Amino acid sequence: MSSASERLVIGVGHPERQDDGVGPYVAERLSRLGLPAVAHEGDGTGLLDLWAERRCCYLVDAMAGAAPAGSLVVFGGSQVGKLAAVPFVRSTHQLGVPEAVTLGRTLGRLPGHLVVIGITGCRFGFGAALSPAVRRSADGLVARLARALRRTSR
Amino acid sequence: MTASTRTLQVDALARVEGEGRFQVRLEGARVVQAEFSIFEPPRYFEALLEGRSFRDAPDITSRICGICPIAYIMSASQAMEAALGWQIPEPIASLRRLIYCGEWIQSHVLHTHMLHAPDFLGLPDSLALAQQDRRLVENGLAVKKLGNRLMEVIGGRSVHPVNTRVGGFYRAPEAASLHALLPELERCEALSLAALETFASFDFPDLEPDTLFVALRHPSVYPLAEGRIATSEGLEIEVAEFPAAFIERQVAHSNALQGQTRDGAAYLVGPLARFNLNAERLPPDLLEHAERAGLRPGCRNPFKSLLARQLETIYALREAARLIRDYVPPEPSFVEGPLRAGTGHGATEAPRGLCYHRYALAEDGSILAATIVPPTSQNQRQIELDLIATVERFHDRDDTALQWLCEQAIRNYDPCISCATHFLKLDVERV
Repeated sequence: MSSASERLVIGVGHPERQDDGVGPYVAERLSRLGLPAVAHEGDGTGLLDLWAERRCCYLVDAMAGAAPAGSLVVFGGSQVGKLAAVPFVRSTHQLGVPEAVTLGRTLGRLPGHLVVIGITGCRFGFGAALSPAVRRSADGLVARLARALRRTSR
Repeated sequence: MTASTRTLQVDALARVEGEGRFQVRLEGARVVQAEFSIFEPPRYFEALLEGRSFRDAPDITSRICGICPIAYIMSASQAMEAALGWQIPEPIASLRRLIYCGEWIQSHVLHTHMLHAPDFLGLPDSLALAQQDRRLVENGLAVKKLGNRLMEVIGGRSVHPVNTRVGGFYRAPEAASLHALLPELERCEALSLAALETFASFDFPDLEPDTLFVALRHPSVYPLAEGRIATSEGLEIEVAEFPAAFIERQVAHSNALQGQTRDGAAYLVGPLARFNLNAERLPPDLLEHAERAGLRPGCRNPFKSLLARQLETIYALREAARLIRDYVPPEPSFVEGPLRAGTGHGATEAPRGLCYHRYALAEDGSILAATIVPPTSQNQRQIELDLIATVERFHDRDDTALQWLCEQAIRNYDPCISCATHFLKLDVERV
């Protein structure tokens, strides 16, 4: 069985851009529980380094889309390949999450098991506060990920 | 529109930082309009600084860009130290040069390998490049990771470092943590030399427009954060004389001010300018590598900026190794002095070119006025001239091929549009 150190939750986003900060929010709360989680601003090349030699990574990022705020979309296994069509919030210069997944697959640098969890946001302006719907969804996700990490580390 | 009129337009440029578009109209073989438009919203950084402490400027202005924060930190710090009359000891200046090497490495390699190289291979992006040449992309990622690591060790983190301050550093890194990077610096220099050979094999469009180059020049070193401002027409001035020689002007089609000389001429800043004005400061063997790659001092082909940028990556890797071998932690790690009213100027070489700052301070060190002139603002007009030269030179190509070349001509500058929209006032001229 894999150890906790082989598993990692990566929260992608900018904590000062409202709902785009949901990934770092999730990572911070898991870290406070003593679980392996890091925040990442989203440069895809840096994601490749974080994935290196991990057996399992959960990547949490904000999404923009028509679904209600707080909606979760989970991509695991072969579904990760569908990410390219998903409107994740990303920079125009650096590689975003979908590009990092595609590049990681091409270079053989994906973790053994990658689960990408998108949370639909509704506010992407300046400020640290998550919208209420996104925060509720994020708190629920923290509880689920904590259970998953503790279960697999036993 | 007549039958002989063609319009090339891309509304959302890819593989650049920020939001920009271009439009070129040509009649027959003659361009009648060329506009490089930046529609990223203005960001008001200069107004944001007014009334704040001089100590805040490096950290606040570093937020202008996530790719080149060191350029803003260093130019702002220099300007503040000039205003206050603080002298920076050599060990602190060397450590600044070292962290600047890290920024050049990570920024340059991101552009050369991931954003610009695909243009020369007819590929849409770095993902396609990774499928075609996995080794090149893997090696580029390794070099970028090392540049980021160098910034982390010195600056505390690679994006918007937190260990820098006016006067130096909050804490000097331990020598052992820097020495641990030496083997990877040597490995990455070899990888980068191999990449230069790969890039040298690319087919560079044959274009040599008249260009005025502007960069720092220093009597003994290839400039990163030191030297006077020089031009390819022979002007050489102190950094404080920048406003006397260069201005910014508002144009209706762009949210970013455009730089030009006082005489109204466009000019180019960045790797090609630095190389042309400082080639003799490079180690002889690197000049030989440049020569073999097809890059010679005096080169005016903007497409060969790829080679200049890659050559600078190699130089920065080697310079970083030299600085680490000579490193003695500065003690103290920063200097301080009395406050006073005054005006200070700072200019350093961001990866994309000259980054100029000017601040007026009150007696208590609060900022009365701020002016920031980033490289992409200065390059905007030259980019438009390059678009004209490119379209007129290759007008016989079909629209798809010509549009591709135009996008490539813009990416020659690795434009950072977010940096360019920093300015204080937005005067919209409606016609």
